[in-house]
Amino acid sequence: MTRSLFLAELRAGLSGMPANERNDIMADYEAYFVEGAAAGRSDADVEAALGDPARLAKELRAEAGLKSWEENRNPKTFIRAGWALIGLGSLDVLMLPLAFVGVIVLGALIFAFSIVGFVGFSIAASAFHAGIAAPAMVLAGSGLVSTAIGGAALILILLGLGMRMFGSYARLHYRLLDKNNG
Amino acid sequence: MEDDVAESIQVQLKKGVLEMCVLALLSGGDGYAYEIAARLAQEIGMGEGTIYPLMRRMQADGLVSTYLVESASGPPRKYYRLTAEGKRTFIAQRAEWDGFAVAVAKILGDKT
Repeated sequence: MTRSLFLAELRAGLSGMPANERNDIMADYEAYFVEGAAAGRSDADVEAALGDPARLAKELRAEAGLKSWEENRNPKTFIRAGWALIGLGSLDVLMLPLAFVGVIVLGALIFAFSIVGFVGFSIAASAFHAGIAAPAMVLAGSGLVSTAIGGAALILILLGLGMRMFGSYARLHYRLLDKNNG
Repeated sequence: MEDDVAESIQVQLKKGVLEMCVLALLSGGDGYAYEIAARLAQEIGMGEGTIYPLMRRMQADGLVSTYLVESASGPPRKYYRLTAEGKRTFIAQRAEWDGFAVAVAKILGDKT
């Protein structure tokens, strides 16, 4: 493989990533070849030391995905981070059942809190609608709605924790650490 | 099989200390990726390609910051510098490592 082929494969592996991040990474690896050459190493030697560009791209994507999720928690970055981590091939026999249980628990929590919120909202709404001064009902309704909002916050915290754990676990699958396993 | 186990223990150990090693190298002065990677590759057998995922993560975690230095030949060189947070983390990790190393050495010593 030549230097340009290595860089082309790396760039291809990073497709879909924001352009500025990708250019930044490409500049890093280009600089690495320049430094290597200045130190008297051949391109072939540097390439061998860097490892498989497709694998590198996966690890860089996983890092970038986790970072975008940590900085800005929304469904889009959640999917980006989760997808990149799965792409790393880090879901193995140990992690798969854990991830499965995690998804089920989260799903159940979201369902339960949505029901609570909906019931609370209906109670409060019907109390208002009936026009009766029913402070107890209004109170009960808004209490339930607040519970649901608290539950949503809890779910967000759990999602953050889960992604963090998944991230640290996935990092143990960085194969390039071992230079014989590039 | 035994070789596999030994190798996998080594890899896991290296992964755990890599970040601390980078912190240690940078605590002695700012550095650039090639220099750090070449040193770690030589001394603990790190795959050189790993340096950028590692440095990007450390930057995202606020342990290091970067600045560019124009070079006479070739593109500007990106230097990494420890942040205050990075310095604190290094001191804490080092203390933990020293304690751990002493404890392990003691246990190993008991068995020989």
